[in-house]
Amino acid sequence: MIYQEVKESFIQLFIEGISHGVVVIDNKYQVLYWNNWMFNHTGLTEKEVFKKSIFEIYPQIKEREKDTYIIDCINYRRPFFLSPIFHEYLIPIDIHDKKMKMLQNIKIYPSIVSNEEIGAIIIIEDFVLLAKLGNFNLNYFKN
Amino acid sequence: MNLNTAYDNDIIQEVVNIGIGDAADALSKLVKSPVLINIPDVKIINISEVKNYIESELKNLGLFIIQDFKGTIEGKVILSYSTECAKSLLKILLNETKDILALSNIELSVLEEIGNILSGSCITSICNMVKKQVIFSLPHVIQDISLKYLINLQHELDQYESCIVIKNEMYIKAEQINGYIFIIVSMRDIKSIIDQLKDDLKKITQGKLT
Repeated sequence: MIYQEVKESFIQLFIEGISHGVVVIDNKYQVLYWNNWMFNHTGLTEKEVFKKSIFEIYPQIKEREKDTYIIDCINYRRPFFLSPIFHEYLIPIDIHDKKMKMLQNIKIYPSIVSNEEIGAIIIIEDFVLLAKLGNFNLNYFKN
Repeated sequence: MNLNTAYDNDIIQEVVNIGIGDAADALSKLVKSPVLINIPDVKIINISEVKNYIESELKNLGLFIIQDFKGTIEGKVILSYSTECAKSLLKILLNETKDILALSNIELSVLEEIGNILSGSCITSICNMVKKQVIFSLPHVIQDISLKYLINLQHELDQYESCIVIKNEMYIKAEQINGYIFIIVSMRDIKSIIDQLKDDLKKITQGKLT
């Protein structure tokens, strides 16, 4: 019991403290969890997005044909990695006074939620910081 | 336990060919350029040979993408490319003119995505063919494999008996990238794939006859 509580508190600490966005959706693509990072970068609270379809919150995901990764992840129980080199971003987040979108390294994992229904966990990593640390030339995206 | 006939081997070769074909399609959509994957060699070998192979050959050459899958069939996929091949691949994909000297997190993210597409598409395609469902674990990209990791990997491989080794030649934008895909599964699962396909073929044939 104590082990379970420690584990849960660790998970809570980890996903709230992590400097990545964490979004959990169910098999109807509705948001079940939205961490602080997501609130800080989008301005949307967990209450505002709870039980709303991720495609409704961000229609750009479908417009840019990135929805298939989320759909396939849930249908085929396959994780997907979306490198910023190929996709630039999944969740449109304005940065630099709306002059550009945050470049993101995305991981989408299948997840078993409430009685084995399959959903997905989306992890968003800010690529701009990574690029600076790795001396990656951001001009690549201007081409 | 071995496969019974050359016909069984042919079935596995064909299944792998279809799986790799689907993986090439998925990859070509991603890189927006034709991708051709030739498979000059598919063989089923004993797991001890894989362990020896990994120990003697691959630990020095560089880059592994490892992913587990569980479900009605269980196993592990290991993609392996030499660091030089991985750098050439990145150079093509990033349209770089200069050589890539080191792999940073950014470059690794590209390799993670490509590795995930190749192994995921291939296994999903094989599982769809035989109507089996699997769930994938998180893929890991490992460069400069440590001795401890290698030992742990070899221990993990002990639970399986056999491995489908696929030597592949990938062509992207006319550049050739050579690598290996190891699909590590039990002989029981290989046989169940073959039996399922033989059953399906029988049903199709009977359906045509009646």
